[in-house]
Amino acid sequence: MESAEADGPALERVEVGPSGGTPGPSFRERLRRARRWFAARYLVADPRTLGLARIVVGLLLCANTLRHWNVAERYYSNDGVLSTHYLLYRPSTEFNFSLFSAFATSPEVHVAFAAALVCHACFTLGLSTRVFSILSCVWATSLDQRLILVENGGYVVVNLLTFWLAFLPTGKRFSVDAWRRARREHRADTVADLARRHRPPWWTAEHRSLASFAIVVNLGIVYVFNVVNKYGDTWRRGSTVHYVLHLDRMVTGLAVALREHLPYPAMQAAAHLTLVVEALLAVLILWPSHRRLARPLAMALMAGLHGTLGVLMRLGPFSWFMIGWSTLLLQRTHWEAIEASHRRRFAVTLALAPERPLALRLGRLLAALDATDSITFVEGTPRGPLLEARLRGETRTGIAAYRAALRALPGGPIAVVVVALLSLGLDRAIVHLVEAHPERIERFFGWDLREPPLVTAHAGHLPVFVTRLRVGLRETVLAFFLVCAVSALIHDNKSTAPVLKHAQPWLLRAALGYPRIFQGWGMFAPNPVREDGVGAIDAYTIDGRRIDPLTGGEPDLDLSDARGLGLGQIEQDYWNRIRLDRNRVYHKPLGDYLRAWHERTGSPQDELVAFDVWWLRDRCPDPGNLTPTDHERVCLMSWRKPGYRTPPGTPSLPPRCKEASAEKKDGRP
Amino acid sequence: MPTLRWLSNRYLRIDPRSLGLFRVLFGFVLLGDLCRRWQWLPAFYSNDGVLPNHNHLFNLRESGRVFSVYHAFSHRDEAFTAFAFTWLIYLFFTLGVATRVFTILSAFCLVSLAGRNILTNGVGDSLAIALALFAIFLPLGERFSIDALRRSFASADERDARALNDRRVTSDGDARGSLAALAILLVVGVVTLAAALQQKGATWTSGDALHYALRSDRLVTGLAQSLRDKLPAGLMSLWTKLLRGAEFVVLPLLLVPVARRYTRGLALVALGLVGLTYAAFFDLGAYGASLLAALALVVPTEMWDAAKTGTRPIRVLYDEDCGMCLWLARLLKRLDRHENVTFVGNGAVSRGDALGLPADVTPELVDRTIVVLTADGRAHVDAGALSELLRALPLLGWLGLVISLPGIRSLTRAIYQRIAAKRLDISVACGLGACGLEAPPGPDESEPAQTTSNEVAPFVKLRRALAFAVESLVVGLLFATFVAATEANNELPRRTGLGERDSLLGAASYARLIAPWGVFAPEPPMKNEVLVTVGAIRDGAELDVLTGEPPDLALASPGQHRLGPLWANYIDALRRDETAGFRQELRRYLTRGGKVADDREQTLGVTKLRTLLLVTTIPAPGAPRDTAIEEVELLDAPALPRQSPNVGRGFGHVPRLRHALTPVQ
Repeated sequence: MESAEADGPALERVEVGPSGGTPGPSFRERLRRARRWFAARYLVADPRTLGLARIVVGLLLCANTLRHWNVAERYYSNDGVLSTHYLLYRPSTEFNFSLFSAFATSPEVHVAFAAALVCHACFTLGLSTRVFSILSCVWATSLDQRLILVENGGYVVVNLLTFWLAFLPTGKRFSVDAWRRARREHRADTVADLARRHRPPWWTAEHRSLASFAIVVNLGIVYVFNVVNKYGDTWRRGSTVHYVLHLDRMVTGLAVALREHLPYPAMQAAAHLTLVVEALLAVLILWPSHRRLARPLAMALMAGLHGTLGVLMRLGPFSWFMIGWSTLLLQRTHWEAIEASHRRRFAVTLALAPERPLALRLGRLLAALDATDSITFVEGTPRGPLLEARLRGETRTGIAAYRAALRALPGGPIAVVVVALLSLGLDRAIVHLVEAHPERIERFFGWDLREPPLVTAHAGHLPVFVTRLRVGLRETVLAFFLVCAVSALIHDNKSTAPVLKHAQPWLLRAALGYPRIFQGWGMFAPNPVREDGVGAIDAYTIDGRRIDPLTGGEPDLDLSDARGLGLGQIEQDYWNRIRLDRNRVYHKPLGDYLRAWHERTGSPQDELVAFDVWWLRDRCPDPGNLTPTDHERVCLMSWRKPGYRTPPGTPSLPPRCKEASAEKKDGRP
Repeated sequence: MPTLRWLSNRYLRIDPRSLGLFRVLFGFVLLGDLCRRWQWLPAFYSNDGVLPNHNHLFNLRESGRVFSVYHAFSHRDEAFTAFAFTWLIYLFFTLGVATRVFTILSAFCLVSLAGRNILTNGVGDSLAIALALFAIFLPLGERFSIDALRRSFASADERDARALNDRRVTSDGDARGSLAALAILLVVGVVTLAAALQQKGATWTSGDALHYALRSDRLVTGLAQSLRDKLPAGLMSLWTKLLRGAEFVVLPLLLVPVARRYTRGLALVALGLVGLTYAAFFDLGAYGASLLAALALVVPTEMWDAAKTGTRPIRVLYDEDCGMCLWLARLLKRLDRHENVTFVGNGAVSRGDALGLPADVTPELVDRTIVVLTADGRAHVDAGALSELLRALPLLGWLGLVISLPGIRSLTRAIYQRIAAKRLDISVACGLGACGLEAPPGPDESEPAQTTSNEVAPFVKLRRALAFAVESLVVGLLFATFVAATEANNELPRRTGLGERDSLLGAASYARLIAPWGVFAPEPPMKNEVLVTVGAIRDGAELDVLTGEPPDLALASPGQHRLGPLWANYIDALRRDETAGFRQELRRYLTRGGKVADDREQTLGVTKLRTLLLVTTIPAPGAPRDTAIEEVELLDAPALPRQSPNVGRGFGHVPRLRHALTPVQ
């Protein structure tokens, strides 16, 4: 498959209808039409959509990295609960690769997070986009692989999204790369050149690839299986929202308020509505026709559904990345509508001083940023102001002209405020200064010198067969990963027919396992968990204090009075997983972490001489109640410092608690 | 200012051609070094080997200060993938593709390779790392690189013979001054001087040092093993003294600012002798080869300019309608640094322009094939033309001679004719166009190509000054790190005190810039010490599991004991008390079957294992050979005694800083 750009004009819309009385087209012709119909609907992506998705996903990746960086020492360094060497010694999975494994000490881990953040920032800006897209994907999957204990569906969404995006030309629009390329190909040397508005064809040429299919269809599949897998009785009865809102380890303060004041019938309605919305989303995303309406509707529903989830639950990256994923639903027709609407609202004519190089530079910059063609450039009066804005028959100069120009750009109204803030309110004075002394600025930057001619050298394109080979290889790799994705869908979802289940070969498991691009979709499915729980540590310091090192205060071993635990996603998922029997192997590094606690606080008096690690759990209240039941403590780990005797006159240490499994309460792991 | 400029030209600039040549040579050194490591990939870089990543990191957990990206790769297949990527990075560096990026990545890989198993670190690693780190700040891609070619192609779009014959746009740019230029030369000089200063033992004074060094089987090459008994004692003594003398004079010669054509020439000879000796006769990793690559840095502009002799003017008649031919002509123009080639389009021949061509050069002929006219008026076609063309180009003359050999000439002609017949198709396939390329719409030819004035804007000056300041600061810190490591790990007569600074030593440790420059200092090993493993496999047979051969306990096959510098450094490091805990993994590796099992990709099932160091005394020059062989069990002794205080000072032990290793738990 090749890019639409290479093919020439974009694919035309082909309607396949029943043949009439005249002899119908041949089978080959029908097949060709079917292929074109399919390609036009599922294989193309608008470069503006990809550019927007890059920016949104890039910003989310930056935020996600910062969120993890905040707890880097405790969860991602040798000073934390799982050291690098221990993870490598006892990897959680068959296919474990993480760049973070190369960074052991806390300072090294900070360097790693900084490097990851730089990569995500470059990806967001569209700087060497392909390279940083791949690096972003590697860093994102590495972050997941470094501590699989805290992985949830959100991490898999991040992995999948960055993985598919790495195959797409996300830097063709709204990027530094695109700006550089356009500047390399064409340069406006006069205001008249600017007025002609050079628009390279690759700005709007749709990209055709299996990756476009994969990334959108995968999104639809998420909802298909999210609906299909929710066959449990709580979903049928509509009590899911009630139970979910009572999971203290996950909920936010807003959810606590909601569960205490929202009547149960409303919660039932919300549960049923969730199912309906998810089912609707699957259809709206995958439906081949009426996409001009279906796709924006899907985007709105996703924003509503996941926005609500995001503010009520601490699910990590899930909600926000799903909203980010929805940006890929935009199509050319939507962009044309958006651009037309923007032009109608913000169109402006800018008159540039024809003799001033500074004005020309300013014009070039505005033209490069004016993605919606809202600005019309004309020659201004000689020796007049650098920039003059003509808006609805009114002529503006000075700061008003610059603000009008800025407002005409995408996101302009916000940019006006940002510029005013960044300039500390001195924007008016700066503009005045620039207008008063343009020649000084030109001299400083050397813009008064003649520019060298732009050489658009014909260095020879990649030979056609090389391009074909490259595209063929890319599509073959994509086809392979699509096969992997299908296999994972069958393998990872409970609701798929047993007859389809199969043993995955090593290569397939490796292809899915290293980037962790699994396809098991079933949030709170078939039923939400009804057991709430959290880890707590009951420790004794060498000077006789009883503390929980994780909170720094007295241990709170009673979960039943909790009104939301205020735990972050990483912390709550860590405790929820460390309690599992299969993760018992990771109790040792947790113990090492606790035993070295005084080294981190720097106070010898904080040395722990004994600790018991508890899993506190209760059952979420049944509908109609607000108080959880069946509260109990399960001992995960217990330790006493060998040879330690309490000083005379102080109470002796309690005996070690008996370690037990914390997995059996709900009758399922 | 003129004095400053004079000094800057002499100390802060290296000719771009020297830098380009250095990049190519050093790239080959890196590729060779990687191939050498690849041979032992499972043993030293995977969890199947002598030091799994978790074990290494566990042992380093307190001291830290070691970083390797290869720690992230556990299994053999993962390590293989990492090495494949590294190979590509080195290749792109060698070719000069995105040179700055790949220089940084190459340095990163080199540091990481050394950091993955610090027991294998040696003098070669340190020198290569030092050169790679300073090379980051030098414009290595200005010449002899794909980058330079692409830049040149992008800066001028020749479409006809007149543009091809205009050589102004391809002239060399003046390289910017950088402290890194001085620093990298100082590194080369300091390394050799530090070696010479520490080689103060009796054997170096008497001239017997190389006699002993060449008989240490685990450290020498096959060439040394075959020649060491054939070289007369007098020659060996002279060679030893010349070698040490050469090590002494490199630095002073590099710093002489005048008569550089001669002083640098002498420096080239001295450094060449040192590099060639260590590269050809000793297996010290990348040490000797890095010194040889550094020879390129020593070549001054004066020598490059002096080499521009021996002109061989030719005229090339090419097909104007063939896009591929035009592209090749543009390439040829860029390779023709001596400006020997004049291009003539076939259109001029068809038009009957007065070109003074021989009678046999007809329009039909030039439409069919390339024609090269040499200064003697002869016309060459097909393979003959290619041969003449290549002989007119710098560095490619040898290829032209090869093509002119009987047999090869016929083969070349046949290939050429097939390609020439399809040249228009190939042009179209390559997107280069064919048949009647339009005349250039480019810049007005009456004007010079470069129309900008020489005036530099204040902003550009400011930017350059800032960049220079920042770069100088970083290079200065890096050089201070180099000096600190050198002082900490070498016995030098004078010290600056930088070797006491913990922060600099920490930086040196992270960069694995250990600086054990005292090669064979103060004395070379007086005993030949080789590793032999005796593994009893299930059928009762005994096998050396590192070579796959029967164990050579009688030291009858010296070639069998050349396991390479990785093993030499590793075994020497393992002899130290603080590394006793690492032996367990070695035992596990050997019990699994060692390299034999690696090659077969299955466990060998060794039922009984002996890991022996066979030690023999190297006889003095002229003395009879001592046949007594001492067997030392390597793995059973809790901490083996050092063989002698002289063994491998500088490279035979794990070079370490204060925090390199802690006792293993």
